[in-house]
Amino acid sequence: MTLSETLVIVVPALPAVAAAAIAVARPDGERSSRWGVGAASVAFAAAIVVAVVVAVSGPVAAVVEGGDGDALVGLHATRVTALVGLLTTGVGLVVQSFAARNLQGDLRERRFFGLASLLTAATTSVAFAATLGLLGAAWIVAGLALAALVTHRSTWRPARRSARRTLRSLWVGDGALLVATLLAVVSIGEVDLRSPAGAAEELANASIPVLGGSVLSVVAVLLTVAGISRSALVPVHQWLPATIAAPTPVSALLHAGVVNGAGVLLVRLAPVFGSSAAATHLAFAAGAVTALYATTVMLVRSDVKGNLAWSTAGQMGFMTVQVAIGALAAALLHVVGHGMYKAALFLGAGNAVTAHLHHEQRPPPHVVAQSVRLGVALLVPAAALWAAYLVFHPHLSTAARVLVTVFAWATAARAADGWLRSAPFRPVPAVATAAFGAAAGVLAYVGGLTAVETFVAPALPAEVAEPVSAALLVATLAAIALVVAAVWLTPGERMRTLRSRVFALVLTSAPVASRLTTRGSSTGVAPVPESRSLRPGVEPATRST
Amino acid sequence: MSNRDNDHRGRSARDTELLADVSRASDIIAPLWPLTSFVAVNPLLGLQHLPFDEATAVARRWLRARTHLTLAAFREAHGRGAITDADLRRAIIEVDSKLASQPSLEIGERTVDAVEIVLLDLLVGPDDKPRETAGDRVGRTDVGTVRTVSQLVAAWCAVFVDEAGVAWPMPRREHGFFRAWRELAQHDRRLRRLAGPTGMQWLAQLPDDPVEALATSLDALDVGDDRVEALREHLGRLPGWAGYARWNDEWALPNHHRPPLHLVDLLAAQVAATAAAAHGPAAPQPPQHQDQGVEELLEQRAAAVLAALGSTSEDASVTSAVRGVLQQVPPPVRKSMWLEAQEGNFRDRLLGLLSRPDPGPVTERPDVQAAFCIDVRSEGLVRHLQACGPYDTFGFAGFFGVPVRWRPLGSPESQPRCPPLLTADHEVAEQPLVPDDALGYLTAQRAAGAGHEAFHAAKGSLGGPFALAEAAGYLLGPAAAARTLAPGLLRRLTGLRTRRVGPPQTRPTVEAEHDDSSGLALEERVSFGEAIVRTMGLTRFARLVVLCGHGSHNVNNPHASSYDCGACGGAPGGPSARVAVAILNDPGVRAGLQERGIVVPDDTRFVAAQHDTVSDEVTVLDREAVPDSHERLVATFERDVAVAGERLARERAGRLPGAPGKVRVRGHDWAQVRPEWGLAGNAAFVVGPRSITAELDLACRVFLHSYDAEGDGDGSALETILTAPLVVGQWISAQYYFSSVDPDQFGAGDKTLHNPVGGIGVVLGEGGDLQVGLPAQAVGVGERRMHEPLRLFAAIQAPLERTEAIIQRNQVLQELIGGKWITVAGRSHGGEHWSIRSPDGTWTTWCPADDGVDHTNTSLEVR
Repeated sequence: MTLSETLVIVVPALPAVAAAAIAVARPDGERSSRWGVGAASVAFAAAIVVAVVVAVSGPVAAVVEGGDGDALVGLHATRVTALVGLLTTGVGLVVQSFAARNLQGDLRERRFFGLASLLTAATTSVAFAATLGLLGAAWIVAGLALAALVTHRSTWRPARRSARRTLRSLWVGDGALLVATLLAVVSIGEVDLRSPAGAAEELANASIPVLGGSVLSVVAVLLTVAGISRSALVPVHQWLPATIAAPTPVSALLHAGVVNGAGVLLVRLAPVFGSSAAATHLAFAAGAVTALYATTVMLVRSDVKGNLAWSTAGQMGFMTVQVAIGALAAALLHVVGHGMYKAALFLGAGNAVTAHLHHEQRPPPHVVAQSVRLGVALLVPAAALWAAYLVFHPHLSTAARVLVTVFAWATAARAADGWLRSAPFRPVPAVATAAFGAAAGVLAYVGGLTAVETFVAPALPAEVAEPVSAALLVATLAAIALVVAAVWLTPGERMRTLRSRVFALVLTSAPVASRLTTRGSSTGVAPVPESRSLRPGVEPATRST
Repeated sequence: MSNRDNDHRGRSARDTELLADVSRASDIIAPLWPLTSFVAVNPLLGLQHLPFDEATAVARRWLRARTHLTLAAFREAHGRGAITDADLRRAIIEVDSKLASQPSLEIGERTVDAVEIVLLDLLVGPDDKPRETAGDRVGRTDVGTVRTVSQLVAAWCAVFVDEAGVAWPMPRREHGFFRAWRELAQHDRRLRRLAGPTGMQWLAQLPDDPVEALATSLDALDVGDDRVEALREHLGRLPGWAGYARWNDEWALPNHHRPPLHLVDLLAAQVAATAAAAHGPAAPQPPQHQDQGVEELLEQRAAAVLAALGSTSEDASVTSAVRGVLQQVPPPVRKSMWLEAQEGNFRDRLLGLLSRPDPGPVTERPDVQAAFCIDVRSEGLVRHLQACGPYDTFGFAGFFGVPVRWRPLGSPESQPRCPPLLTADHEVAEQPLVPDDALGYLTAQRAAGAGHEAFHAAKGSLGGPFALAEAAGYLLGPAAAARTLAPGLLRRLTGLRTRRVGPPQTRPTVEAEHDDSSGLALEERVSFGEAIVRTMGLTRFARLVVLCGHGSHNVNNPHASSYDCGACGGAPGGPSARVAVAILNDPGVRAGLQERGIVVPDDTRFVAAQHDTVSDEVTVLDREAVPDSHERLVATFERDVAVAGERLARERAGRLPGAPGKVRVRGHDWAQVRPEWGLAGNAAFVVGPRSITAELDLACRVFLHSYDAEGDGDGSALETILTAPLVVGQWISAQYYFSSVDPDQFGAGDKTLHNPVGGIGVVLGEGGDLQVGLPAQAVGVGERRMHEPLRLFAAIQAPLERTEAIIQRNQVLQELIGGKWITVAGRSHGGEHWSIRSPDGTWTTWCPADDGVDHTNTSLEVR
């Protein structure tokens, strides 16, 4: 076994070893944190080396092969999986290091570090698994470890309820993935993820025993269902906001890792997923609905963590749309970027009050005329996008180009508008900085996308067989834009009532809270049961006699 | 209720009566300040007119809270030696003196008196289970419904109070909470499920006015004479939001541009929702009283006592005699006894230390005088500072007697910097020494604001967040990793940045200005100057007088301001010190003081400083304004206080969990949930000259207020101390006490579950009630309690008659001291024995519970 093959194994194995060691040796909380952080550090370092090796000399695999040369079990690092592996181990390291201080003295500190190590091992294995069987097993372990982490504060009722809900929702996807794996294995033997295209071909030729019909499309749809459940898409989205009942580090782990399931699964199995129109359209529908709905909920939430959780659901919807239209590299960029973004925002959630105080004490801004502000905000990002495409020549399908254009423009326009609304300088330098910032942001974004795309190109199919068409994407976006504009901009009492209704609907959309009883101890320090003193004589009070 | 008075004019008698009931019901709710300016407050503030035992009984009933430690926790303290049998015996008699005179019992071969039986019960008797009130009724419905609808209403409170600028604000919130809620609640799916179509229709036809709607709703629930109880049932389900509403009603500045959440609006929404739900399909739960039988518990207690005595006799008369004794000590009284014993133990230790001979004040003129906040954390710094040199020190409320509103450089708004009991009438603005110097700083501030707006504009939109997350993640992720893996690095970088683009040199403009309302006129400044000097008891002046405020630098912490100076309204004390110094150094003021008989020597210079309680570093403020003549003195002070800070940091590191070497980094570590211990451990308030505490290690547990009885012939300074700083000290003490005994109900719960809401507070997890009090992490580590929950003990060195007269003529002191919220000890001068004042006003000479212990050589550390 070469050094690089060993390292591929070390990356997921070391956190798993730490988890097992913590479970068996039961060290105190302090030492558990050191073991967890130590294992994550080495795993992250190994992941960096693996990524470099893969970038320089191509994929690395450490697999046990069967007679036909197909992998039976093992791990496999490509440019795609190495990138995801960097994210999962990096987040595992940062979050555990954060938790070492954040959960210091916590009564369940050891349990946290054991489970966090296990979760890191599982998500990393999902990234690196060379076979569908191993991927499925790691996927299920990740879900269980997550649910166990959500119930960290088990003396507090909302935490227990949230964990139950998480388990129930995740089982929908776990069941689908289990069936998909069994079906595939029964049809073609173990699915070798080193060449998912080959597996797709074999699956296409196999037909379902007894019932008939192509195995491929059934497996593809089942994989989509698994992704929908793991990435908290409508209609199985409710579990994600409920997980705020877990401590901050758990949220950071969850929102940067586990929840990306749909992206990682569907990108890795793109040839299988993408050859079924039913699967891509199902993913597109769930993704688009979630992106619109969850983002709307996010807009009304005044609590930091609720805002972040609903934002994640919306982001997962967007990511799934990216996969569905075949923009695989863009989806990868999103998985990694959003993972880091959300982990950082969750860990820093405590800053909200101070930030608000500081913001109120800032000097009043300069004023930029509205027409100038809107002109800059609308036009500069558009021009910058046009220039960026000229400079970087990203290889994007039409649909992907539409998606990138619309959303990069929207972001840059909103940001430039926000900057100019609270202009820090006189109008001319304010406009100049806004224009420069928007243009630089757009160029960096398209440039970064192109770079990622170029980097992962060898490990990804150039396109999928049955993506959602650009026409459908455009039609969907246009329909959403029209409806939103109509509801938002139409004056009059009826529309006002409608807006109130939408507001109330999205604010009260978390059914968990309807039976909310916040009883129980959030601190984990329940009053000590006095059972000992209930048995008189066991504890003789000799001191006083 | 001043803000609401106008509203109430012209109301019908029925409404006025209802409002009076609302006011009475809201006694169980203490005002809750927003976390931007945390103010420690007794969670039972509204019940303070009742004695402690009665107030806590009310709280247990309506807030479903624990008001004392559990028996197990007390027994654990007993096991550690923090409470001794002698303490318990004394406490038993103190709580119920009848027990001492009861006949002894013959049990087996032993003779046991009643006190001994109660003592055994305290040590081994089973604890009572908390009362479950699930089956109680509110008019036509049950408390379960109240709890559920309260949770629904809480979700609306969270969006109503938002200040941080949510992307889509609550529609119609400018119409007030009740009106906006009633319109939107029509579409609340969860309420609809509870209330059904009939209930929702009923809700729709309610009057628009919250008071009328409340009256109608109470009628619909068939609530009659028990109106206050029904209202309390509702308030007790949302003490956090109700507290925030009380703050809005009674304490918030009227010019605040937030939509105020009024208590009557909140109650109207809660009760209306309950009444609507009572129309609904969900059947009320059947009553299920889970009250543990009093008889059964008594039986078990008697059995436990007998077993502990080794009695095997089946003699029914013995058993019933034991029961007879125990019957006089119902469960809550047992806890009173334990608390009394624990307090007695601490009192003995402190008075023992304070009974050492008073070395008396130093007679020659000192080089440096330094005044520190009365905050318990100052005690440590002062102790270590005095070990470095002959410093003459004072303890004084950290706003240094100047109640002003402080407007930081560039800020459009000013904040009050004084204890909440005072009103700040004057605004003082921070101005740059050289206006042009400030331009760069102000632009940097504006740019930070614009960056914040740009980010949030993109994030808070339907189309913006997606590419934002992709792009920003690659910047935020590595930054988060660096902050987590190398928090010390951030500390160095912050220092570097402050040096390069930090604020310019500024000064507080205390002089009244023509163009705006900022500043104070000369007479006002002279009056303030006089008040500072007289209340502090400054009779002579050193060449250098340092006024040292304190603040706490800590990050990523919604409760950051709870570590700041309470006397400055939950903000750092540096600005207040600067204002006081600017007043006292002003030649015009000095001349005015001379006319009033206070001669400040010309070579006396006042200097402001600020103590960072996380790192224990002290910074001299406006350093450049120190004249050459005083440079050497200031430099020496800086050197000594740096050494003192280092020693204090090392001392504190021993009390904090985690690596002791990193204690100074904690404030910059965003993962840290315990930047410092704050005022945890606080237990006593000493009023007297510093010389009586000068050589003692008080373990950062004691508020020190300077008082010189001789210079205060008419007792006015003492009256100010007892009615203002002592009362604020009691608020702080009670805040810590209750957050420690019930971290879930009176405290803010677990910090890692905190979810900041609206820029003003935190909820736990997904939502619900606004959290009150201090986080669990501020008072303990896991199961270890760092704050020993004791009521405040005040030791006052002043003529007893003077102290007694002041207590007698101030109602607040009569309530607090007579109601056992505070226990007072006093002595007239350093040579006298301490006396303890009993609640009824008699003073008895203090004698320790256990004479065998050398109380003059004890430690005050939390055991």
